[in-house]
Amino acid sequence: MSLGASPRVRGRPLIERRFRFRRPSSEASAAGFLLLPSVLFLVAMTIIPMFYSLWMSTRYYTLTRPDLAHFVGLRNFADLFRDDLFWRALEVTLVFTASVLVLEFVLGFLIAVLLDRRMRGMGLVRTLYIIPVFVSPVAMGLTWRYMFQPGYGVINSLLAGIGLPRVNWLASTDWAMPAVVIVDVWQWTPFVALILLAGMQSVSTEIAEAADLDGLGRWQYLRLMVLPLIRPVIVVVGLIRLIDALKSFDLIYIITRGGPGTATYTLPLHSYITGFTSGFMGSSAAIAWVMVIIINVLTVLFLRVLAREQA
Amino acid sequence: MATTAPHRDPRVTGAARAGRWSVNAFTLALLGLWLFPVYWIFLTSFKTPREINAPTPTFLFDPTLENYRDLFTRFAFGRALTNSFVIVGATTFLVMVLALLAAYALGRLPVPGEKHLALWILSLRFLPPVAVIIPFYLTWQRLHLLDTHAGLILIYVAFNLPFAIWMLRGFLVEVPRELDEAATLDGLSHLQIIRRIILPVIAPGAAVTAIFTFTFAWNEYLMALILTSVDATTVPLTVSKFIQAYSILWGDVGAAAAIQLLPILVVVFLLQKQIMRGITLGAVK
Repeated sequence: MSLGASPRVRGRPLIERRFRFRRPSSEASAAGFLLLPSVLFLVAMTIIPMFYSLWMSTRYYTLTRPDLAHFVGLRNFADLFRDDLFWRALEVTLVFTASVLVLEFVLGFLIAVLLDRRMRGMGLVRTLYIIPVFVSPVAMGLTWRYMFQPGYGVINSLLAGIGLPRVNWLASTDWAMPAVVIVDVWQWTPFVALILLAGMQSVSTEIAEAADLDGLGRWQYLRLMVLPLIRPVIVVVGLIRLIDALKSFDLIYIITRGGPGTATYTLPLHSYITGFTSGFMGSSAAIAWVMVIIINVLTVLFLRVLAREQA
Repeated sequence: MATTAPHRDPRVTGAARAGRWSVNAFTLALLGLWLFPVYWIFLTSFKTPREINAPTPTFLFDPTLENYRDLFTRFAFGRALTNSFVIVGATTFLVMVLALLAAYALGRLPVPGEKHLALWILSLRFLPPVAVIIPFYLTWQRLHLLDTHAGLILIYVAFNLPFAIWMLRGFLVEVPRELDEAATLDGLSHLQIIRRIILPVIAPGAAVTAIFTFTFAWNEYLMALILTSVDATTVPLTVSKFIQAYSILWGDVGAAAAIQLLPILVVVFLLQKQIMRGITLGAVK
């Protein structure tokens, strides 16, 4: 926009007058002064390490012999794509992410519906549902590991009590993945539920009353009126969970270390173990960068699919 | 809190009432199921090894404090607690100061490309930590920051700052502008406005932001695993060491988990309303 094109009042541009009134120089420099510490710090602590890691991904670099480090171009990436373990880790990551996303949304929606009602002590009930979001993944991962124990675990006792067979959860390649999915669903469903609940409560009472007058049942009301109205909230919470599930490390590492075999071996574990257990820093950085790219691609796809459905 | 449940008719029939009661009962049963693991680990922390490894779970027993004693004598849990409090306390303080200044600038002052800058800051929250562990490890090694408090504090501030700025900005834009415009006319500087006008008004929101920062840093595991070994080990790292070659010390796990959970449970109860708003703020706005 050029100043000459703006409407003039008595020969002076309006825009200039407005800016003069707001004292541009002092306010803008104050903003810069207040923002600069955070922005500089974040650039130094996130952007620069990201580029460092990109550079590292083009090098042969081992933890034990850093003196032998040298440039290898894209060899780390080429090796990665030829490695079955990488594709297996990618598959495990996607299965884990898709499972927790679907389960957390369905259960979260159910809990949100239950919490979006009148009941004595509902405030307290909602508060109690928050607790899993705040607990330590290490402490609770170990707690679940204890509960999953085949011999003395409380979950198997429960299964046996209702006549179901006992399962050797964490030592079985079939059941280890469901086990870590259960723990992630336990921790994060309340988060999804409370956000959906907030979305439901922003739906006005007039809409609810109109639905009531039209004789819609509870489920029809939820499906036809509430679900479309809270779609933006669903997109946001889905996106948060998608990204956090793709990068999740603590719970799985504590519960199974990726095992048994490769049953729960996700990409973040692959990157960590390649770098810090096997000592191949260059390959580890390459895995991390592939992960960053996958997260970005899936985020764009996720937003595009939901945006199209909305139209 | 208001509810939007549509079917609230004065002519509720007996069947409808029974239906509502069963839904209430289901809500509570599900809640009980959800909180069982937390209850179970508290219970376990007071059990003897024999009760912990009993083939059938025991609910009634003579509580013992042996696990807690073991924790502090055998695993130097006291030091881990001190480390965690120092690191997490410093992190929370620094994050709040930096975030308050940045959020005020973003929410109140003319910043060129403000939207883009705010979105860029938020996008950093989604950065996978695994992507930066190698740079941090190698740089911290060179700077002699491995296994130091400062080494972890720097990283925790960076990881928590984006979300804290975003949250505080959300609380700040709800404060009526007349308040600080009047203060500007009174000749207060921006720093004075932040401290005397803004901070008192958004105190509940600031408290939630601080709690979120505290909790995430308090629970953080991956960075502590890579960057600390002896002097600066935090609570989660110490707890993970109860996984031993052939067994896991469940009693110690229970006691440590209980100690780690307690401050968080207390805070959640004291500030339940604000926390509910804090959780939903990022997503619903």
